[in-house]
Amino acid sequence: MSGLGKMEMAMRADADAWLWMSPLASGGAGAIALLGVTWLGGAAAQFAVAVAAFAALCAWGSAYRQRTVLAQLLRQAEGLLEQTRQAQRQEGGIAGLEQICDQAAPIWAKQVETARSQTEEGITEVTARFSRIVERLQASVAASQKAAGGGGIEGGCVVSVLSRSEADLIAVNRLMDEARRERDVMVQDVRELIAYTVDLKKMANDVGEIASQTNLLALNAAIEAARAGEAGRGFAVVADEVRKLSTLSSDTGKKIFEKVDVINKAITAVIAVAEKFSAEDTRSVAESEKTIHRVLENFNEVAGGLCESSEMLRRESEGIRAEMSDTLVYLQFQDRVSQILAHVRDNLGKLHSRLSQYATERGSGGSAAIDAEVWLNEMALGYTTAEQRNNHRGDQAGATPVAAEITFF
Amino acid sequence: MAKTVMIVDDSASLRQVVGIALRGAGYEVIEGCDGKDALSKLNGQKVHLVISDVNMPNMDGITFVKNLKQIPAYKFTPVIMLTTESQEGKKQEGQAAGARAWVVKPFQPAQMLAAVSKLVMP
Repeated sequence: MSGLGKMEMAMRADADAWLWMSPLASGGAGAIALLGVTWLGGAAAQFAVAVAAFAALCAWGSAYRQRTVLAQLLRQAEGLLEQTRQAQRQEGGIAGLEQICDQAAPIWAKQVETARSQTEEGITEVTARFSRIVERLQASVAASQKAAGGGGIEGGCVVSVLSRSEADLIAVNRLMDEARRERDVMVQDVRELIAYTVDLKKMANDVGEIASQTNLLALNAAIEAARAGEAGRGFAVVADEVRKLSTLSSDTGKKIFEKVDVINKAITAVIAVAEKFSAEDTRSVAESEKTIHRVLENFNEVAGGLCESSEMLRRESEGIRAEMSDTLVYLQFQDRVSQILAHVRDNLGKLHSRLSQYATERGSGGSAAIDAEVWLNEMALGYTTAEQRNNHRGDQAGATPVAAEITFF
Repeated sequence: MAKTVMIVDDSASLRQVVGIALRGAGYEVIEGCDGKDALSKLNGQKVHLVISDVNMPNMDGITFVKNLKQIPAYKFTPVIMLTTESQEGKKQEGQAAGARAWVVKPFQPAQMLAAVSKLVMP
């Protein structure tokens, strides 16, 4: 039992004792008065009765008064006792709170710091990976667009490159056709040489004919020379020489005819070969033109799909770039969260230090009270974000801040 | 040749976010985790622009800018303050220290790139 409880019980015992002692004192006075009556008798007896009655009345009055005072004292004591109990409870509560703060504040600060640092590490890693994804994505998009000719090749999409290639190939084909035509012209020229060979053959025949006539003439001359006898002997020699010349001329005419015939056959063979090549070239040129068109058409189909893919990729790339930009804005939340948590952590540390200082000062007998308003004002000085200040004021400040404008100085 | 931008911020994630935006636009980036670290890393190398946070350990952004401007090589290097602070008083401190622009986090990459493009040294 506490000291105050014992005091309460003693006071209650004293009050009860007084309450019972007063009638006893009055009874004693009455007994003395009764003894006086017995001893003195008569008027004195009346006086004694009056004295006894008065004494009893005084005794009862005194007893009542004492009881009232004692009851008041008792109530005051009970009030005092209750105040003391409350003070004891408060004292115990404050001591408990101090103990909690002393031990829990550093833990809270560590918990906050752990949450802050883990979030920071996590977001840093997420951002690093996001950065690598962005780099690889940009490289892929650039490579795809280059492959599709969406910017890497001068002149634009690969379809236009193929169109230019088609024109170039057709031009080459036309050159080949032009060469074929020129060769046909040359063959025609060669074919005209056959007409000359016919003339040459005729001329060779004419030479043979002249030789034959000359031979006949020489033969007649030899006959006439023989008929003239000795006088015609010299003429006979001339006629014989003429006959020999005509024979040679005839042989030469035959050889010319043969050679012309050989030439004629050779030219005919060359023309035949040239005509055959020309026909093949004509067919080849036509075939190659068809093949060029067919191949380029296939390429166009593929390239068209490639261009569509490239264009879609470009549009997607723009969309992704916009998404990336928004993501970069949202990734910045960590910086604000980190600053807010660091501020809470630092303030928990300061609170712990201040409470420790307060406990030390109180232990040594004197302690300056902690000024809550000053404390809160100092806490507000450390804020770095608008939402912290709004929260401090009790305003609505939980919304995510939007990207702000830039102030140029 | 690519321009070099220095990012000074104690938040590694924010340095990365700024780095992604700048590298994507063709800038080279060097990083400092606070004012003191940034000054030690500059070491005379050519920097065309500096982006700095304000609230940092060891050396805050305002002090960093003041010290930077004391170095002849960086006297005219433009500085953008990138911070959660939006109070006018703080902005005036930044302006007095020599900053050319004040950007409140979170920033839009396009806006940041426009500011960098406008202020970066030739």
